[in-house]
Amino acid sequence: MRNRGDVWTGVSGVAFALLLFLLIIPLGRLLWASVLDDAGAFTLKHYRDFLAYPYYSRTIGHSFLVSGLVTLCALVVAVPLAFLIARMDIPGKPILKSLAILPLVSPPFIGAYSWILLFGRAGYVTTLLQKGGIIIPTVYGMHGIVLALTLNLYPFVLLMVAGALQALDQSLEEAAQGLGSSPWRVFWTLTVPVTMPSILGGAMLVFLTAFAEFGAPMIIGEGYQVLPTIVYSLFVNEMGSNPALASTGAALLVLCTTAILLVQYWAVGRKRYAMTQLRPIPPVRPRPLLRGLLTGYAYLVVGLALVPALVVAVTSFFESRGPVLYPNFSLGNYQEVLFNVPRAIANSFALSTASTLLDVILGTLVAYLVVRRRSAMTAAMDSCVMIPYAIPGTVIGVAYIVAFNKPPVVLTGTFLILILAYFVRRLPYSVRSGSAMLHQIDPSVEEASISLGVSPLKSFAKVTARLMLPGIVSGGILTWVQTITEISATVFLYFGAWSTITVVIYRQVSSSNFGSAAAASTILLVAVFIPVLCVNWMLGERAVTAV
Amino acid sequence: MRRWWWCGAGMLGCVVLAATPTGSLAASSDHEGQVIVYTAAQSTIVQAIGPMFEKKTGIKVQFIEAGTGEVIKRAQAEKGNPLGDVFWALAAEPLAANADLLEPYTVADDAKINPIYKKGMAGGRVQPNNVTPMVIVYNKKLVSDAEAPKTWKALADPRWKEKIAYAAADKSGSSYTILATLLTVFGDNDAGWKVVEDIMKNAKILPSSSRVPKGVADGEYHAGLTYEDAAMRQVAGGAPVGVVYPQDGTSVPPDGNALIQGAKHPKAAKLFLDYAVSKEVMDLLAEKFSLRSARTDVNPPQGFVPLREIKAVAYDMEWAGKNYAAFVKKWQDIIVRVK
Repeated sequence: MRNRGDVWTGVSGVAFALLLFLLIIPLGRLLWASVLDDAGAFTLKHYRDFLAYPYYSRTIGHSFLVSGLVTLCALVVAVPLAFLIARMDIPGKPILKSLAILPLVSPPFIGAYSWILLFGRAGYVTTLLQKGGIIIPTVYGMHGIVLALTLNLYPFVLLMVAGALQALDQSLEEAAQGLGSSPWRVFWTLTVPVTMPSILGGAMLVFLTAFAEFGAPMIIGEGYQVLPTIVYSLFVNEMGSNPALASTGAALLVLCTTAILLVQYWAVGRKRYAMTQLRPIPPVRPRPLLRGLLTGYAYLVVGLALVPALVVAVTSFFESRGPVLYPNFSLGNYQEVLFNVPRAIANSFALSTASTLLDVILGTLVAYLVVRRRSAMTAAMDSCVMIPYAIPGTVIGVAYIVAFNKPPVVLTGTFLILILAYFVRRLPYSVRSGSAMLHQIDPSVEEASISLGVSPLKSFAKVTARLMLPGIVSGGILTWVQTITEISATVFLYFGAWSTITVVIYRQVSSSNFGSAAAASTILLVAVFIPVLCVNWMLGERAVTAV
Repeated sequence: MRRWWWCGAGMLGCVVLAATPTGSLAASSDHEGQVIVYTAAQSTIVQAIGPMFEKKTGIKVQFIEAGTGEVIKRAQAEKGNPLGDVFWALAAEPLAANADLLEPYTVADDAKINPIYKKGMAGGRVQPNNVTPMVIVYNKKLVSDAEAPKTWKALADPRWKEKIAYAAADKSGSSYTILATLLTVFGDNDAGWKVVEDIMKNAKILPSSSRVPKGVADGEYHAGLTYEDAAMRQVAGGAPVGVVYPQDGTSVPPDGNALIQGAKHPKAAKLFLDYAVSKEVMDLLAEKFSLRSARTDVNPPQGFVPLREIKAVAYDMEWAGKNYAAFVKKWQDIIVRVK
């Protein structure tokens, strides 16, 4: 441990400098506005205003309630599913794994809208049930948001828990059983505690994502507002915004998120399990009846979460007359978007691939620093990295324009600003999944390598990074998938020919051309699904995490 | 590890290659060869007008498409080093409220623009493009023509409880215009605000103006408060939607265009502004895209009621802009009270 100091101090210096330039300065300036009065003196007046005004303050409670419920539901759905996928031999696993990640590709705006098409007041399912005399509550309001977000976000838990289970070494469970423990006891005293950091890590991602999400609440909340929707409307106001109050809202989002993170840091920090995976555990093939039931359950959950995507795909083949859709088969929507989709898809692929590579490299290094070189500085780095997670992309987009539109650094109007904004926005995924993975890896292997005379950085690359690979790949895929669907920062930063597929979808939705929006979304879904499927086939069983 | 670096370098290389601009720009003495247009116009309109302008002038036009709020916020953040040259087809009211971003300009066909719409346009900084009255829409399957609300006031009746849709006035510009229109009709006093409160008691609050006509057309809501051209597009598409011009009076605010202060391609920008309100473009917008022109020599789109048959109130855009913060705050207080 001791003589690694130099190299890793250098790495943390570089990482910190990058974070300072890309994150702390642009966002710090914006958040700072929340504690300044008109004359530029320090004040807490805006916080008092915000908290004293029920229209704003009640959204904080709403946000905690929605995110808490979503996290609970996601755990209930995803943890059993992760065990099934990691440990049981069920048919069609690579496809199942690839399908399970699709909800994360949920195209902006239109995914949640599918729930209204099905379960709204005049929804397809609602009216069908009404004819049969069954009245169900509509999807609008808080419970609808929870439903949509749970099915949208459960893959986070699935990915991380399945990854951790895959990384368990066979000998551990064998040893426990050899010592006379019943399988049940092995499960509760070994498997559960060892996967706990990943369960908590996944739960944290779900909670934080739900906390920062404003798409679904906007679309199906029907006036049920959460903190991010308020921040969004304070920021992007057609008639002139209130910058100080908007900054205050954004700062409150960051404060809440940081508080949650600190709790998690403290909880996971005390329990650490490390192991060296040499032999992965082969999947169990249960008895036929049980196998059928489990398979049914797995496909049901995964299928239900794909309903929005399916609705979008079906709608894309409907005939459009202006904003009105008719259920006759037609390729008209595809013709409509063919004009600008190919270039936009190519842009989306290029931009998100570049930013994902940056994320993976820096994210892995930061994760290593945070987990293996615990200090006040790395803890601060850990919290900093998570800030973009808490802030709506809108705020990041605006902050980036303000920071990078004047000399010395002018990046606006280039594609580079998009890559950097994506990089910063999605860095948490790589850091989170990398650090969850590291918690499971015994540092002694790397130490052995170093004591054998291999340089620290090389030891990291050859030993630890390799053991982390499933976590790195899974974080990379998450990052890529979430980047390619980014819209809220893109809309502020894209320029010239760098329009992305999400901009096309967004514009079609706001022009009420739902048919064309559905067609563009379907193309996006397919374009994302194919590479994910390929990675899963290539990595096979090793890639549980890569799901 | 080395392979990774090569891989990464390769991909970055691809991105850089793709980023290299293709084709050279033909600058001439009359203009700079290109123009960058910030617009909230529908994508289909953008795709139609862009190539027409390029063909006519030889100027390369690049569009940045987003909602009115986003486009304006973008320009605010870019102030000092503006990247856009022109605002095109944004709601005029928010444009006028951000006059410090704009440069005055008089279009070539200024004489043909109806002078009524030039009032309250930040002293000529905003040029009227098209106009759109505020209306009530209703779903003909859920509401018969006889039962349909004929006035704003009718929407305050408790029988519309939970049945009407209204976009949040603190998010949507057109929704704010409706709020200010109600206060113009009923007065900015206790009685006027009582009507607003009664309507809000009945309303479901949606996040964007486009959701209102869509929701009514789909049968999610019985009726809604919205603007004419969004409603008429539903009608043209064959949705079961009826449009009512409230008999107690409505406003007819324009969408506007403007030259951005400090634009890097001012000559090309002015050519675009002239072209945007030319008879050629306005005729096309009326015929194909259901937009009512602010010009006096362009017929309204087919199926549109002539403006003289609509009861218009004296809507004061400057008054509405000046009172924005106060009215929105009062509206939010109502929402907290009734929801």
